[in-house]
Amino acid sequence: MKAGKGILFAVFVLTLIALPSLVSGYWLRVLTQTFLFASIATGSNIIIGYTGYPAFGNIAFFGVGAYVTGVLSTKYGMSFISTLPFCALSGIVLAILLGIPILRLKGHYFAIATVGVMETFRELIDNMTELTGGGMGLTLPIMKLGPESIYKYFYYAMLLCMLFALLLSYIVSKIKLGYALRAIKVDEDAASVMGINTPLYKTIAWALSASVVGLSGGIYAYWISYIDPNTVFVGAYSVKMFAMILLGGAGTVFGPLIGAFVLELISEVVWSKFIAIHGMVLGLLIILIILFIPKGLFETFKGGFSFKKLLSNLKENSL
Amino acid sequence: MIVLQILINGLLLGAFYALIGIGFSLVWGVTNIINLAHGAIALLGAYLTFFMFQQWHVDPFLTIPVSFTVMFIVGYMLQRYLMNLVVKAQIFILLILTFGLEIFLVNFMTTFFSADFRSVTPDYAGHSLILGDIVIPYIRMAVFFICVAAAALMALFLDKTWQGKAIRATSLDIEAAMMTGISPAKIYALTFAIGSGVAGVAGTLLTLTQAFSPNIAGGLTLRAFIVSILGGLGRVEGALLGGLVLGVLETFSSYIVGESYKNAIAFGLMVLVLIVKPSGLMGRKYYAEVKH
Amino acid sequence: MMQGPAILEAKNVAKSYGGLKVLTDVNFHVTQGEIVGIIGPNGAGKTTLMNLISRLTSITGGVLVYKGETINDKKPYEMSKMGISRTFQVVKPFGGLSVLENVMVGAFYGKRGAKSKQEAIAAAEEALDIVGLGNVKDRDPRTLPLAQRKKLEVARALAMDPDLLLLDEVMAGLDARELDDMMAEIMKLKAKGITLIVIEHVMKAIMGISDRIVVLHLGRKIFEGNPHEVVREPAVIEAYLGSKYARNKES
Repeated sequence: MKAGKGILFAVFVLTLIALPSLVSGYWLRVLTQTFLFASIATGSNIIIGYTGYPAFGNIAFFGVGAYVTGVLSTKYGMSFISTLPFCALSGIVLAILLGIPILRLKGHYFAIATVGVMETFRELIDNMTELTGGGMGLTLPIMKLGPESIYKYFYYAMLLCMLFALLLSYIVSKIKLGYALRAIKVDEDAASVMGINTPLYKTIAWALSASVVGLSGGIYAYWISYIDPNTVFVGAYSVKMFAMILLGGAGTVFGPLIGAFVLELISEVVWSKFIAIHGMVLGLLIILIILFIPKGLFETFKGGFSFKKLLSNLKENSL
Repeated sequence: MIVLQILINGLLLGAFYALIGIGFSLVWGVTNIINLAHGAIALLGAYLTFFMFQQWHVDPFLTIPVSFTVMFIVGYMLQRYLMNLVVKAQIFILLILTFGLEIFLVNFMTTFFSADFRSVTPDYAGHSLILGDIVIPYIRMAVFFICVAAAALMALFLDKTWQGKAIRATSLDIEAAMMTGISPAKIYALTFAIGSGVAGVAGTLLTLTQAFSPNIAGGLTLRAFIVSILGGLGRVEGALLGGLVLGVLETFSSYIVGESYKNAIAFGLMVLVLIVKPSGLMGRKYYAEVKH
Repeated sequence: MMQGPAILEAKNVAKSYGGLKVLTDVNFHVTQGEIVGIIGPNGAGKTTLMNLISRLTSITGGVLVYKGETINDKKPYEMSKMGISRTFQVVKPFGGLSVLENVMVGAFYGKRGAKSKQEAIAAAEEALDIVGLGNVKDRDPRTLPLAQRKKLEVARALAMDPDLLLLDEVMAGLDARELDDMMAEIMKLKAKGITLIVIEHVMKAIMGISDRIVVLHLGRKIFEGNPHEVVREPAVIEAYLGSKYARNKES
């Protein structure tokens, strides 16, 4: 990280730490949600952006993480904090078990297999009624704090989760592993011939990615305090996450975070104005990002904003 | 006897899945686009039928040409003016684009048609062919035959007509096709139009066999995907086989382990097939898969 | 003919895809320290043979022995740890990484197994200097001209500290000066004690550097010998130029 960027980042983090005493509960909620997506996007970027494996169903780990916290806290009386290591662990274990067969697939096939995994988990959890409450959902214990304090508590918890994701992503980009992942992304055969144990490293990448996504699921469950299979295994979250990664720049450390802030704050503005058609607007927004800024804001507007660049992006991939 | 009844139910359901899958598989095989909005497009066809039946009491079967034509046009426009703009991008970009379209369409239907479950029940619903212990509703039987007939028509179209041959040529080798004067942009649009038109027909038939809401779009798309994977891309006979296999399997597994595990089993099956034989049961690689 | 011990031996090696036979009963050996050229018309199975040795594709018949060990069931990354490195005909530098970082990947994960970043950088810089790319080490490899990208491939393989280096058409597309340059590089590698297998279409190059040449045609080995023997062998001429030309020449 260059010094200028470092200072900018420090200011950004300090501002976020100071914000809760300055803004309303509404904005705290919006920002908590933004941190959530920034965590998911940053974590998923390790497998998607660094390694080039489009894990479309990565939200599966989010749902499982949410249910790990949900089940452990309601059925086994564990405290919120003590459930979190298990959320991360659930992601790691599942990614390893699933990665061995699925990471052999490429492109479309891998993407859709991960969606299949997500849907399978949703259905399984929906059917394990005794443990998970099935379609009735799970109501998590509410913390014995005032509403203001709860807002702040989860704001900081999610902020920490996001910073953890960033740190992990930063470290991965700097160490030997990061080189291996980027080599795999460009040419798996060449990477393998250069001595990279590609199945192993892909699995590690997915496990790291899943640990972050699982962790964010656990925090989300306690924050929102009610989960059911349809609110945590959400295909639309996958798409949002992908759009954020693309918007900010896939394979960069800070890109997904920036994408998450831009997209989440935009959709929040849209949300409040067009409640009835917010889904349609979200769909349109995603289509526009794909059409005009698939390389990310920074890559596209390196030398300043211009419509010409938007159009040349559009032309690049058209038939 | 119950086994026979389940088998028949499975085949009846399977033919419908085949129809949902045929268009999806064709689009994927030819243009390399996995159209995640396929289910939503089918549902648009379903709503066309529903509203025509509700407003003007048009017999649902008579709305088939309407669904086909309208969705054909919609599909043509979508490919020509949207998909073609990004068709050369990385695969996940296309996936997100079509998913964005899916979100848009599903929310559009939810906003304007409501999220309520709807169904279409003409007067003759409820009559069945009874052979001993076996019961086959006439409507389902008709749906079955229409699905098979539509598949046969599609196969004939791809085999015999100039446009069909151009589509197949494009799917096998786009550069060679271009040299013979075929315009890929138009062929892609035509392919997507046909895929959407057939999806529209499937939507119409859906209204006759089950209740539907905008939220089942994803389930339809995933079934189309499974059918394509089972049958291999772009192959009508493959999709037909894949649909029937899926239908029978789903029906039997519902009977054995319970209705609620039906989806989990379908998705599990898909992941399994992907791992074991990504080129499908009748697998052969299409150009779209080989190029990259 | 054998001077030292064989580092690599192919015994009746075969490869087929379904019914299509790409390689049939190929036998040859590579002696420690020599340069073996593999030539043959298009479709002879040269690159397939490379892929078999680097273990990218499965072997459907016969045995490959490297350093006395059967390698039929090894993975590519295991081979690289055992000292086999290779380049690819179609050069694909790892985008998003600089030239130096591309070569560092080799230093990290190849037989060298660099433990620290410093070690990897040192090895990478050395490899880049050997091929003469030291002055472009911070560039994005995608911006380099072809000749330099080919050299980058060689540098990546070198940084792995190979005992056996497979070069797949590293000289195709180079101009005369670049060609001489690359041939000199290869002789330097030989002098460093690296054993090389070189696939090449450029006859001048392969004749100039090879100690021995294996000729493949339609998946079979049709001849093996030193460069002088190869150019005089009717079977080789026939394979390259068609049977008519060979007969004319004989008469």
